[in-house]
Amino acid sequence: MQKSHSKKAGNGVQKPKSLKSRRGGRGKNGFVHVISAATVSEIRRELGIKPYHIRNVTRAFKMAGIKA
Amino acid sequence: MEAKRRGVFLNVPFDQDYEPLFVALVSALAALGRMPHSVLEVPEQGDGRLARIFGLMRQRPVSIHDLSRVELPVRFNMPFELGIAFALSRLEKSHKFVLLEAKRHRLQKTLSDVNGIDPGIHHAAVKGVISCVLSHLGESRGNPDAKTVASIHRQLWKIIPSLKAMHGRATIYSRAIFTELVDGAIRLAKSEGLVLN
Repeated sequence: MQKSHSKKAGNGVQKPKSLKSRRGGRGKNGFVHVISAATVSEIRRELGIKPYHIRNVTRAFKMAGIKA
Repeated sequence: MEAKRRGVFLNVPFDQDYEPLFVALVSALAALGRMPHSVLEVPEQGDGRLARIFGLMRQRPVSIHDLSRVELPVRFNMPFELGIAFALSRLEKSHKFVLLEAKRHRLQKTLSDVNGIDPGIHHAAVKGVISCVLSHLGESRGNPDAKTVASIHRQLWKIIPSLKAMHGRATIYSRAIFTELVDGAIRLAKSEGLVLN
């Protein structure tokens, strides 16, 4: 039996390999860009970063002329 | 990966000369989506510094030990804490550690017990620290490049004077500054598209 590299769609029609969706997004340069699973809020929760810390950092960034 | 599994305990010298390297460690870890932890973040509650270090290290899967401070006055803290990490890695099997040194082959003389474990050599330079962290703790693909991490470090370094002034501190080694430094690093990592909101 010949092996197929295509995946069968629900209606039985085979989807060409080139049209199959890829995992993850693509960066500006065309390479797959894997974004870390950690989120800002997750890290803040884990490290106990409080709103006043966030305010201080915002102030420090402003004073240094950095947008973050 | 659950939050705790992303934690990295930093066992490094807390001296003024080390500040740029400490900020480089925080920048590189944030860029990798890892969570830097230090004994600085745990308030003293009478159980002593060593107990705090042990508790923190035991909860984190990875620790980084910088053994580059071998000049006088001799500092025994880092090798001692490396001993704790080694014991954890042997007994609990869930702990890994990374060694850092400034000079190649020096560790073979200063701590020959760890012969066979290759330390990351950072040459006491920010670029070297970033490279060590990315190569030891990065994933097999999709890691940020060293240039991006260096950019995070440069920007983070600019806010240090303000943070020191806000907290009336001469060095960055305080609980508040450490916490805010990490927040600054993850915000910069987010703006580079490395960490999600």
